[in-house]
Amino acid sequence: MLKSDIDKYLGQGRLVLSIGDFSARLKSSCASVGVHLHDVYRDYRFVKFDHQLHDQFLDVRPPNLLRDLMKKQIIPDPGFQFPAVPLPASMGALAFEMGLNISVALKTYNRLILHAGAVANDKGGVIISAASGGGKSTLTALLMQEGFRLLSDEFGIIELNDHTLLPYPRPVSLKNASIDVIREVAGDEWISAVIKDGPKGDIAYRRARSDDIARAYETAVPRLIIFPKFEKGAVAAISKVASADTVMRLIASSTNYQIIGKDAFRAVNHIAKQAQAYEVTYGSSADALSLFRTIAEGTVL
Amino acid sequence: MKHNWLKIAVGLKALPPNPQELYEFVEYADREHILAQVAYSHSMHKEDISSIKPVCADADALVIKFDNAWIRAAYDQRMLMFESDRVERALAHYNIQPTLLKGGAYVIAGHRAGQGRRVSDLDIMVADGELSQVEKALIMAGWQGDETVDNDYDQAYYRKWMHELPPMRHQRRRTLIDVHHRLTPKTARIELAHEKMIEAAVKIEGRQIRVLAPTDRFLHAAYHAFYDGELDTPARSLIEIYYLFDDLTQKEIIHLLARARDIGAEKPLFMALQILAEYFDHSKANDLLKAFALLTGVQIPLSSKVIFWLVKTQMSSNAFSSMAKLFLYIRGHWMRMPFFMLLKHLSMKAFRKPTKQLPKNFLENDLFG
Repeated sequence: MLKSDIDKYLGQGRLVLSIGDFSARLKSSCASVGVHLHDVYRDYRFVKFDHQLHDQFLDVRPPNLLRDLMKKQIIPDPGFQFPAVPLPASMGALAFEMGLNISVALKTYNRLILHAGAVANDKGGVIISAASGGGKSTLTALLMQEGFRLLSDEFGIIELNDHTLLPYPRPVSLKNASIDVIREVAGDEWISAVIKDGPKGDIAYRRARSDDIARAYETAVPRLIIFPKFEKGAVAAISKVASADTVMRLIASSTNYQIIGKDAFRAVNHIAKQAQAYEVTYGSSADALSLFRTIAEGTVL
Repeated sequence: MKHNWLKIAVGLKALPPNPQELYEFVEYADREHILAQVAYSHSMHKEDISSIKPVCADADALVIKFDNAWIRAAYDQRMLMFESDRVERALAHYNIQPTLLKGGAYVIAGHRAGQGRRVSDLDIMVADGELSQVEKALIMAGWQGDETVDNDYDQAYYRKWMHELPPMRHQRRRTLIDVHHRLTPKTARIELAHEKMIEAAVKIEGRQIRVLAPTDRFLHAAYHAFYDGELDTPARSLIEIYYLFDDLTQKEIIHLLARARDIGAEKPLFMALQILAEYFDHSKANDLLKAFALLTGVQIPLSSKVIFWLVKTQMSSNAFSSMAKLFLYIRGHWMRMPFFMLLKHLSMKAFRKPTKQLPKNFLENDLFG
């Protein structure tokens, strides 16, 4: 779609972004959102909204008229009541990414959502499960350089019928020091402009590659589960995680496990049985990568 | 909202054949939290989920949307069944049989109005004299006053004027319960005879729980929709009234007016009948209205006609609907309390700092970047 059409339809709320099996209708009057789409989403497929049913809706807009006049702020509005913290209007990229994440996490019930990074190669998928700040986005981006395709840096999406990983390749969000780490290995042309002084410091996005996007329909069988644990100055260590423990950790990381119930229970148990799980403690990204290679050599990947 | 959408919602009419109207209808149903009920009424989930496909544009995408909504509603219902069991346990020792109200009652009684219905909390009613014992027993079982009403003004306000305790939240499961001891606030302009309704309540077989008798359930739903609150998800309230009315037996319908007079629900009854005739073209409602017109001493009060017009205007999404919405909001409060109390109450609410709460698992999972 032409840039000018993207801008036009985005303003009218008639822009649909398709990523694999998911589609989102988008609306925004905020210039920095358009810039984000032109840059970080330049290889994605946009279509004009023509009353096709979609999975997500997102409007990035001023919180209210008064605030708009006074302060130039924006919030992501996913179409249902959600208390979002207003951001400066220049941070459209961040509001957009947050808003779409919220919508996926809180409105998807027909697939198990794990808060995890996910990558895959032809032999199978890797789930990288960590709390925020645990380094899942960084490790996801590093593995993209190791011959893996990106599934997602935020969501491990599990199909409830065959328990495979469904790709949802959105840009990888990098924070603070990891921006330059990834810039070095991926190359400057793959990294977006840096948003300075966001709620969690600096943020930048590593673009998904055309191949990641094109293969977004290809599911992967989860073979490896990594629980990364970043500790400054930590001695690198790997330990195997038993499958019962893996089940409990995956459940804790899910946004919709309780809501789905039985099918979600079956899915996590199957995954934990089928895949090998390791906790990886590391103090630097070089450590993380070499530990991962050690694990990968010993498994099917 | 289009005039025939409620008929579509309950399955009296087919889904819209053209994509634009289908889209608008689905969006409306989603916003009103009735998508899973729509899925149910269009047969999607009566048997095998994937076996029946709706006949409409975009059918594949719609099946996925229905399925998604159905899973969400199924969770609400599991939660509710589980919570009702816990409440029953907490009260069994004191030999107290609570009466389940609203969504909880429909679900537990296996009523059509409960199929696919979203339920966010459990509403129970106990006798006035049992109230303090019930509160103590629930606290012992892990419920506590919810954080959102954990301030002196709200606590005192509920206890002095309302028909229910301040909402209580289970400290581990985070589920909400409303404990009623009446069906209407002490200050309300229409009062329901809750003692008579408790007396007629029906025990659920094998359980220490009751639900209102079918006629009372319908009249309470009508009262709740039009005389208690601001009708903020009208579609949900109105299809509920449809299902509850539609399932009344001929005998129950014959006695409807007498019972409504007996418990003080005459105005809600007239409102409900007008709605049933207008939006569902329900023949029994039409017949009743005609019969009432012939009876001497039965007259639809002017106020019910005005409210009916306001509700219609709010739902029609025309130029006046936001004004009608504002009227209904003010009226919602007006119905609950005398004027000076209302002034004081609304000014308290306007000037205190709003508290925003994130869903709990969200804070833990933290998807903000």
